[in-house]
Amino acid sequence: MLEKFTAILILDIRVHWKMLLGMITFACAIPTYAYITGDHRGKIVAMLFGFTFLAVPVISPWWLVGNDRSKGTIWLLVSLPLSRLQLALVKCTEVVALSSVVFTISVAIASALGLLGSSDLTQFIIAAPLFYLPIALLATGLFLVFPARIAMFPLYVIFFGLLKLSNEYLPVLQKYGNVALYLLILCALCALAGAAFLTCVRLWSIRPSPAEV
Amino acid sequence: MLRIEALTQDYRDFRLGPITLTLTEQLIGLVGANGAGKTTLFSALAGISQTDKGSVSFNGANLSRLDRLSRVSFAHGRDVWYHGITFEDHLDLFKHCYPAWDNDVARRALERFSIPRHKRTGAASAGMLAKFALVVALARRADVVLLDEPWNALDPGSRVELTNIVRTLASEGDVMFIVSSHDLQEVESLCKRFLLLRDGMLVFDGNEADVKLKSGGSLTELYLTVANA
Repeated sequence: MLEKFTAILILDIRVHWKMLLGMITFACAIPTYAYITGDHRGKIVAMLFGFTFLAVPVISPWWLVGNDRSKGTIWLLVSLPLSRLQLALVKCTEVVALSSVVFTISVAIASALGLLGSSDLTQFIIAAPLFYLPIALLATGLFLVFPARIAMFPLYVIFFGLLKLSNEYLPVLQKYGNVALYLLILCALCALAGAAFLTCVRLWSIRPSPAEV
Repeated sequence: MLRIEALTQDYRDFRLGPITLTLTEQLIGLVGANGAGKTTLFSALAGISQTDKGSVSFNGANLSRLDRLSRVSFAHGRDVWYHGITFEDHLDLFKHCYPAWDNDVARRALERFSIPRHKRTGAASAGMLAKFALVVALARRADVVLLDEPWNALDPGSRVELTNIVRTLASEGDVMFIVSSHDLQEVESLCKRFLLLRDGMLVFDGNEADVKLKSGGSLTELYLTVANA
């Protein structure tokens, strides 16, 4: 099983290397830009929060699942001798891994440049697992259920909604860590429930589309 | 021998089957109008979609959905390959995924079909991609190969080449080919047994003599009589 996981992971890295490079570049660019321009630290933290927490897990499934789906290569994946659950696990693992890499690079650079204090770092580290897995699951589930273009609409709504929330609540996050944490847990649980539902609906039976019947 | 027993699948207001069949020939043609259920039947046989009822067995052994994903190869006309990587890269993926994968067979088949292994699939011709689907089917040692519209988008030269390859492979090995196409002349010249689907039901099953008996002529005449009846 691990062999299959690794083979698919390597293939996806090779196929989607431009996306990987783009995200990592952007993750490096945010703190670097902030350092050079001397921008307000709170805003930078918000950007980091928004990009690394929300954008990456939302964008990456579009590449890893949605893009395959619209190109027809989802057929190649569903033709492999893997159960639907295993396939979803592979894709979710990739999204979480990709998010974690981009997050780590971005935060490490920001921290090295002195843009993040220890309390900011603690908040990032606590909030990361609460956000990554559910959002990745939700996004992957959406892309497995809907064609990529349709799935983008709810994802954009989720993305901008959460981005706005993160910007608004960031000062609260800094001042009242517990309240923000409860909010994060609530969001995570909602996303997880939605993701589990959507993923199950899709994976239990992938049917040919009407055009193919 | 491929045995399909009361296979049924519902999709919205469409129902495939129940279909019961025993197939022993190496080359079988599947024809039917658009929407008759050919691709649905292939998806079910290949384990890509979950069947609602029925079973599939090969040489007496019942095949679960995961077994079918390993042992039944579905090579359809559409381009399902990753464009940014090479044929060789695809083989590397499959090598790790299919339990019976034979790398030597894959390499020999690439050479035999004149497929340059380091060429990106995005830069390959439709004929080359169709042949590559056969390479994958052979290397994974599939018992049954389902070819869905194999001649689509192929030039006359590639059509003849593909037909000859399939005929040769069927004659030299244990692989069973089921070919679905609207190109009835190609199907008739290649296959030994013919299945005709209409509205999800099997309405004809017979060999060349049966086709003549039923229609008084060719497969095209049978199709026009039965499929559109």
